[in-house]
Amino acid sequence: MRLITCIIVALSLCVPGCSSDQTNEQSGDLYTLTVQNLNSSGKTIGVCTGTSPVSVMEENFPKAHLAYFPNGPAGYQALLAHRIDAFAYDRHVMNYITLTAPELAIMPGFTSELHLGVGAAKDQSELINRVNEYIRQYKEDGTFEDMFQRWTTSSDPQMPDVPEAIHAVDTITVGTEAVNPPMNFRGENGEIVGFDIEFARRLALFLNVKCEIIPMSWDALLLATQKGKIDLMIAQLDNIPVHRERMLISDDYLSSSIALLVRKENLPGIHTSLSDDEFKSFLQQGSVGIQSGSAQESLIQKKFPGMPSHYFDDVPDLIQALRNSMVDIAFMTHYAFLSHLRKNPDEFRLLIYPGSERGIAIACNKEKNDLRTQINFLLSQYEREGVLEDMRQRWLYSTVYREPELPERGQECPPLHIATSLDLEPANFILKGQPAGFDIELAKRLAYDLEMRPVISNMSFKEVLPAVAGGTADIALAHISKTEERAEKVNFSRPYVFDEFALLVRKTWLNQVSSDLSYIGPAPGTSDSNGSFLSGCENVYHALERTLVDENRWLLFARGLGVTLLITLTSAIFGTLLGFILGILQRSHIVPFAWLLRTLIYLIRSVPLVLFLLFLYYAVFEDLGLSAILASIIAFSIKLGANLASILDDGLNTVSESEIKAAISLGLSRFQRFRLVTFPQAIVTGMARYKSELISLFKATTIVGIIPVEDLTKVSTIIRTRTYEAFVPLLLVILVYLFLAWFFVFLLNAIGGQTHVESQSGSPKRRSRHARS
Amino acid sequence: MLEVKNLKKTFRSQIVLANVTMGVQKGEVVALIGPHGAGKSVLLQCLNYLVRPDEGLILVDGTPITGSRESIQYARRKIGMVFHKPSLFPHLRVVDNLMLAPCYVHNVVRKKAYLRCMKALDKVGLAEKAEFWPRDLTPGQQQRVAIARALVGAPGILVLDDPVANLDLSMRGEVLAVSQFLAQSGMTILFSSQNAHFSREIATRVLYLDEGTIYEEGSPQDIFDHPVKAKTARFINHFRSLTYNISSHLFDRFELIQKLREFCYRYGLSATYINKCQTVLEKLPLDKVFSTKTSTKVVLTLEFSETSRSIAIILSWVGSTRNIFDYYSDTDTHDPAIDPLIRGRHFSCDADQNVLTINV
Repeated sequence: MRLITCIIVALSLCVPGCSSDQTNEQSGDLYTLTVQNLNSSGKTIGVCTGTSPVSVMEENFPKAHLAYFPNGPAGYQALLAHRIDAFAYDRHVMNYITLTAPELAIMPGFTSELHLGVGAAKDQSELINRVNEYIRQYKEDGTFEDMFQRWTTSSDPQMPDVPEAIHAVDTITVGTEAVNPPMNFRGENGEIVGFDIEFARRLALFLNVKCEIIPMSWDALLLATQKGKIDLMIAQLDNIPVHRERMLISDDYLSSSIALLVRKENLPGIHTSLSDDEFKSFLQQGSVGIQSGSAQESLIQKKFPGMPSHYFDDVPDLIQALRNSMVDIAFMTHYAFLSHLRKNPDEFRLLIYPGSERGIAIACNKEKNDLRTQINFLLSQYEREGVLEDMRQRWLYSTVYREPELPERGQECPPLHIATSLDLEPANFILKGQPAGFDIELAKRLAYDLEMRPVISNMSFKEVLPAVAGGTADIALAHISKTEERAEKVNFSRPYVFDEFALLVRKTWLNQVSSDLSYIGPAPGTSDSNGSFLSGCENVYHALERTLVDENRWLLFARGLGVTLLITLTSAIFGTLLGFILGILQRSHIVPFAWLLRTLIYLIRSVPLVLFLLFLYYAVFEDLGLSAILASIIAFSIKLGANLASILDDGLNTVSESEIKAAISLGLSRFQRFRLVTFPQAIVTGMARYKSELISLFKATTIVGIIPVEDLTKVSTIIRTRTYEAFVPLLLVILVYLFLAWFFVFLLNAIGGQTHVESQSGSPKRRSRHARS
Repeated sequence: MLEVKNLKKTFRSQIVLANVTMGVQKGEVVALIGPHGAGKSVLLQCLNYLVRPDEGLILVDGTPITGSRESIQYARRKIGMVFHKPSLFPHLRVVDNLMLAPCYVHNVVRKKAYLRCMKALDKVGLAEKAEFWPRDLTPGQQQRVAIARALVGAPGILVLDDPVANLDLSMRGEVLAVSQFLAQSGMTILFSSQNAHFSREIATRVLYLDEGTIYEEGSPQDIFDHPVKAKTARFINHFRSLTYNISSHLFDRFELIQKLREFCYRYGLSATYINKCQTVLEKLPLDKVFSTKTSTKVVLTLEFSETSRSIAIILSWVGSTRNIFDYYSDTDTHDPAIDPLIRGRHFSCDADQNVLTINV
């Protein structure tokens, strides 16, 4: 009865806890976070222990307070829960996160170098060389870009089928975290998937080995790699000095940078991500403005024929029209609008359409194939060497542009005619009176390496592609999206940047419109949906769905439960046996032996369980390579055994000396005395304590997650990192534990529940039979 | 039946038994008396090897205990022992307590053992408590069960180590009655006791243990009435008299009355007589002694006379010559309260020593 009441209470607490996101938006004033004001003592920045952002944050934001987290998802949750102001992590991972958690966004204006490699033990230089070979290869043949795009730009990336090596000679063990989406995480059916996993499989194929993925915590990974317990660590390992001291790290297997993730409400010009349908329906809300000649133009004409649209030659004109309300929606790309958004945060709002990512490439004349090949070669080289990433950081992610000094070829070199429209900040625009921007810098670099001198022709965008197609220009660099339609007229290089469709709108206009469109999200100043009971129930239902149904997560629960039960039951059995043996041995007549044993038992009992488990797994069983589950069973059995030995000892001691004397006088042998007189009494005395020890054992198995075991508690953590739901998974797991604890007590009482002194040597039935006769 | 020769036992450099030689013949009832700490319990526990003697020889039914398992087993089979505390096994019912030895040690069939146990219980009068738990019995009943437990194995000799020491006065009777009954039915018994009267009643021989050896032995009459050695006499007298110091008129009169009753009971005096003694004591104007100016200590002695089977209350104090029964100095006058109860009074004074004797 008590149990049912508890469940009802627990569930009713759940409802308000699950109701919609509390808004911290006070009416009117929006609080903004910038790089400058983040560096103050009132701000908290989250970082993951053992990663490069730790030192980077200390350097750049010395006044801010740092909060440490064990993995990425823990940080995102803290950010969502308003416990930290920003979270510093890998940019490409953040990209993905902003897709799945629309309340979060990357803070513009901050970036820092990040080098991620594959780790291995120090004696594995041969292996690392081979890994580097593969890294070179997969960057050159485009696998990397394809993988990168697939995993970081979709909100629901799927794991492709990577074939296994036939006639594999060996198996390499690859360690990864499995809680860091989209790089390594648990997806459908609880399987470990992600960029790193795909990379590992492809690498294994290349090395002609089979690969085995082993999940463990970050600290365990570092330790295991250092000791050589796993062959490779493919888990977004930072190539920083502190890691290099412990292990070998390969070349960068992906290039990225450190970014700051913040809550959207803290950013000027809040972004919203739209889905396919949302995007289409939104376009029909008002008049649309497009740049002539742009990819958006042909898209509108094809998909929405008859839609009233306005055409503009230059981007600034488009923006101005938007400002003047001549158009309601400006339709271009994310980067095209970014700088305008930053300059006018209160005026505009940006809606991005992440499903529409496409490559930005250099258009080349169809006849100049040699040129294109050379350009592609150079682009791969730039990518490999990190030049492109550096440029992206300077032009795309920062708010302050830094132009490098670039060498130029002299007049004796042939000209490279470059067509561009200097109207798109930050790709190609005019800075301090000179052509500048990402594309311009790229053009200059290419020209230099091609041993040509750049000749930049400025024209309106709609003329750029025709210029290249017609042969007037050799190449065009103007943030041009690669489309099939265009590819009929010109040849494209490999993409050097990715961009997505975006709509720029006036904030005031959006407020009027958004009350009808729920997907736009709350306009600032208005509060979010009510905390009504029904919406609360809905939230609970959705949360339950996400926790259990999505990706068959209930399978994970079932597995975790199995592990917990396995550890509990086997430890209980072995622990009881051990306790019995120790309990008797410690009463041996060989004094030094008994003393030694008792001291040992005392020590085992005194050590805190967590430390004991860690000690056994990392220090004692280190070289034996025992599975973590086995190690935890051993640890729990020993602990239980020591406790039971003490309980048994107490029980045996309660038998009074005079009873012993009487027993001796009756002629009972030492063993008979034990079996018939002292032990039965000890059992009765100790039964209550024994039962409570068993229940404690069961509850103590919760900590087993500190070593790489996936028990029920760990599963709730894993699910939490995927769904950002804390309440439902934890509550479910608590309920399961409560039920199991009650069930165990019930079982124990049923099978061994004599708590008062009763006869062991005769049943009442036998009594009465004798009595009658 | 039992023979002990030159037994010696030392506990931590203290010699408890120096040289004990004694024997118990079949059918005898031997009482072992002696002051506290004389080693009575130690001696008895050596008999079944509960305590290992340092030197000496113990023969049980002719067979010596050599320290080997078989000889020890044999000794324990032949000797049934009962201790101060009943020590019944609390997790077993009464009859199961008894069944342990025959079933597990002597390998008797359960049915047969059950019958034997019931018989033993019947002997001590507790057959109807067979299915009870030990905790539901009074201490006196428990001790009787303990005796039955010792009897089940049909021992040759029953050894009782002061079985009534931990029992209330009211419960001693039943245990002593059982012992008497067993003695009369021919059981060989060796017991240690503080109760002089009891020893007299049922013992055929009395051993006085002191100074680590059997100081004196003989028939009850010999020991109690005509002890040969001085020390024995002192001990017996100690048995026979009770001394109580009264230092002020605020003394604990109820403690005194309790001691009186105990003392009388020891000698098996009738309840009427005991009440009489109590009344006399209560009515004694003791406070009169303390009304004199000098602080006085009164020593009250109770003496038991075997011949007349009566108690004498002797008060002695140092002070000015004064009979507290001031106006009773003359034996002719009566005290209506006390006089009818007592047989006689006598007051004497020697220097400052006043002695008043009242024979009840």
